[in-house]
Amino acid sequence: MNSSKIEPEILATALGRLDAWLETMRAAGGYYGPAVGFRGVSMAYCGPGHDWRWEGLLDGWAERHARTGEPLFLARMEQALRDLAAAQLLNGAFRNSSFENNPVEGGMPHEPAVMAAAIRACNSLTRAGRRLPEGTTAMLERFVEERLIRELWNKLLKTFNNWLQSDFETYAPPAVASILEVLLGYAELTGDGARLEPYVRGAADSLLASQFASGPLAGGLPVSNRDGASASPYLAARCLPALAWLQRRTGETRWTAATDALVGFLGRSATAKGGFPFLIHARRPAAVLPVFTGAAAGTLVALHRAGRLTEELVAAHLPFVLARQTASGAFETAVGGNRRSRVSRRPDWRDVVPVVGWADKIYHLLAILNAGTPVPAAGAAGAVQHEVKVLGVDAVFCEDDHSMRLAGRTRTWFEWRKGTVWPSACELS
Amino acid sequence: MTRGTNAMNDQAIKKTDAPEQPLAGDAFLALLERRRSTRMFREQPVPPEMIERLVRAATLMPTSCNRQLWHFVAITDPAVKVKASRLSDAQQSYFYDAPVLLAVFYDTSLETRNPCSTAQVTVGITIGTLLLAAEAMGLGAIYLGGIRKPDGIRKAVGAPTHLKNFGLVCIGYRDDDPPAPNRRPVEHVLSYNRFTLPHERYHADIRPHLWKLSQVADFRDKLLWYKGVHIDAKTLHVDSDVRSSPKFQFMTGRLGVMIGACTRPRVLDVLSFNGDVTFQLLNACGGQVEKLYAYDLTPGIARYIVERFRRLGPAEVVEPLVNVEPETVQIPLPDGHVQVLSCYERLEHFEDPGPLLREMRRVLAPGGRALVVVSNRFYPHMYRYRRMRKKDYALGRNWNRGPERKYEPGQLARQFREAGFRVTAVTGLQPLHLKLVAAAEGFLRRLGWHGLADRAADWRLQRYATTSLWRYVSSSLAYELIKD
Repeated sequence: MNSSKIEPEILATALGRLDAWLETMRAAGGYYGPAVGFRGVSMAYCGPGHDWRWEGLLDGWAERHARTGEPLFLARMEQALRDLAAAQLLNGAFRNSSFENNPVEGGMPHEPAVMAAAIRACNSLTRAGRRLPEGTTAMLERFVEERLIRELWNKLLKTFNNWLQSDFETYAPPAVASILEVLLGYAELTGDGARLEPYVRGAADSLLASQFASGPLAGGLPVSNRDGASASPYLAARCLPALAWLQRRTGETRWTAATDALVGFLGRSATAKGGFPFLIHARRPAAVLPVFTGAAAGTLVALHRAGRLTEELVAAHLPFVLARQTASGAFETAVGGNRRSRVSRRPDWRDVVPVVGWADKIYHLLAILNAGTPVPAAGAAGAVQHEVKVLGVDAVFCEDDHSMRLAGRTRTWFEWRKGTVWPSACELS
Repeated sequence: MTRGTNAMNDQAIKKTDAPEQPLAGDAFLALLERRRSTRMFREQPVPPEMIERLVRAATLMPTSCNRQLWHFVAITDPAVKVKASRLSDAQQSYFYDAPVLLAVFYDTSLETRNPCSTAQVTVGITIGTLLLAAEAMGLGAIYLGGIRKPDGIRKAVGAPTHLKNFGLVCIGYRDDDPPAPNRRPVEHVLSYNRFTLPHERYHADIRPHLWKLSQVADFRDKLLWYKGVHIDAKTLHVDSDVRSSPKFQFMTGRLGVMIGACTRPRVLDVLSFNGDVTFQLLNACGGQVEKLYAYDLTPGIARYIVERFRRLGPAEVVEPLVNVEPETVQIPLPDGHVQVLSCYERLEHFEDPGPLLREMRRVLAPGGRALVVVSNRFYPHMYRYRRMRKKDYALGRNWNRGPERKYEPGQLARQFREAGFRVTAVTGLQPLHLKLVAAAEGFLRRLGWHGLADRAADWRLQRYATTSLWRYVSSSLAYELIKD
């Protein structure tokens, strides 16, 4: 895929600068930094997270290696797999995998999303003639056997619960879709498809059963199967690759129809200025804000992985994403974090704090769209200073290669030295 | 199952010709002694004949005027289970794991004016008999009465409206070995000719924070094994994972900052219970600490922690500690041994937290920091008022944690001062005005002003922790302490 509207050099430069920023967030054990998510923020824990931040990074490196043959990306993938294996618990879950709820293990859909990307990374490494890092196979096996089948499989519903303490009747279609990718990928990797077939069938059926058939949400999938009144376009889009995979695997038209319907839902949901609303409701106006930059990129990535990304869609959403890149090379996380549609000179602080767990999706998208233009060498990331509002008070967000700081005239809200697990000051919840 | 009613009645009124059997009293009492509520079941079906024998035993029990207005529905079909669960809002794992759910119905319409509620008593006798009969037949069983909407069970099985559901008896082959629960001594519950209640027992009932330390320890020990999570991938009750709650997030963050300010500190979690705080810290910064001590009152709790952590990963830095004396708080650590200390809603177990606070100070190194989160008496915890209104004898007792005394901020400040701590910060968690904003949010949604309601929700979420005066009417108070 190549964008007809954006100059290739602009894409390559954006990718290179983002790469440079991501390197400033790398330290022992993984990628560090605060998290701003759909459901809240995790500003206190800034250590390595094993949530979906790995997904876009692993896929992005695989994409860039496929384009350039650069062994650096293979080395990054290998290190990532080692870091992930070291972060796994014996029950198959991963430490600090809950993104905005960190530091908590068992994040959904984070863990299966990362494992699905890890399986794709394994395939890339194998294709490149590399041996998988030690512990990778055991990690995948433990995740599938212990976490998915032993702990999360619901034998009555015949699908996967979201976590151990889920209501027994509840499952999350976006998480089930990621789990399907893990099971299908793992079955291909190990040749153990027959044994996993009942789980794949059950999960696939539950995914289809949860899709909205009619009304304003038609084609969308809810965040939870018991929520019949709202859908998140980005989380719904995350189901696309699994649906497309099922279609390829079975040849059944029901998967094509489900994919078509979901693509239609996404098309109807998009905002005029680019990006996708936060949440679409069946019986009331959509909660458009905040529009997450990474979610827009992630939606395009999901469409690409399902073979449904078009030039028009790229042209509609890519400028919105690129416009959010800052001097540091990072991307602003969202627009409208304060839920106010009126444009303010000082945005909400949550809009500007860069988050690896969203930047990775942009990284992957840029890697997909960069069709071979050489990416400028990653130099040092630039410093950035942004006027923001924190709980209604004027403040300034500053970031450079070594730190992030959010402070007002009389109060320091947040101060974190990159590479450390805990901020030295944190007054944000 | 249908049986010949007339034949049964004939059998009932006919005087038995069988020779009198000696009453196997000891065997029966032994059966009572060994019966436990079973919460984990094997995936092994129970033959219909056994279910019929169980119900036969239950129907031998007396009913008022021998009305026998009961009916039992054995639910074995997973689809019906799912439907019953959905309609009744029952959220226990054994609902799903038990091969048989025996729904107990009774037509109470004929006995509505009976002052002793004989219909309800009849059902109680019946359910007790079912539990005993299951034990006698080598089965495990538990009565599931914690169902929010028992009428949903009726709807799920298609029972008529005049039959009232009294919960379910979950039956199957036992896959657990729960510890024996403590029972009150007979002299505490029996009096002759004139009602008497020992002073000690009276206080324990209405003011459980007056329990002796050994009583607290026993309660917490059993509670953990009955309601614990994460062991062997089994969750018995669907309680949300508190570690994702804003309160826990706040606490972890503050502890993290304290840990980050030291070089490989030794950290102590006081009254660690299921080890949530310890586990959280182990995951977040296990490599940054020299030792993570999880201190609690009983060896059973220590065993739980070892078991839980063993199933999750290597945890060499974690060391469970058990209280030394049965009736005295005594942390088995030398003076000044730890640099960071946490105590998460545990002072509430004590009428006088002084001894615990002094012990906490003793083991803290000079300059060491502590984070103590305590429930605030000035916050209108609604469940307490509901219990008062309903004259619930367990007033003030939170059954998910143990005795629960609420302190006033002034009392706490004095306690900390007397124990030798200096308070460096006090943060209120979930202040009262958030409740008011939440109510306003609901009102706005009813008006259809969702945009404003969304902003109110966002405003509320960002102000969970406060250092303003609102903190004195917040649900919990987080004290950051230092030992000078």
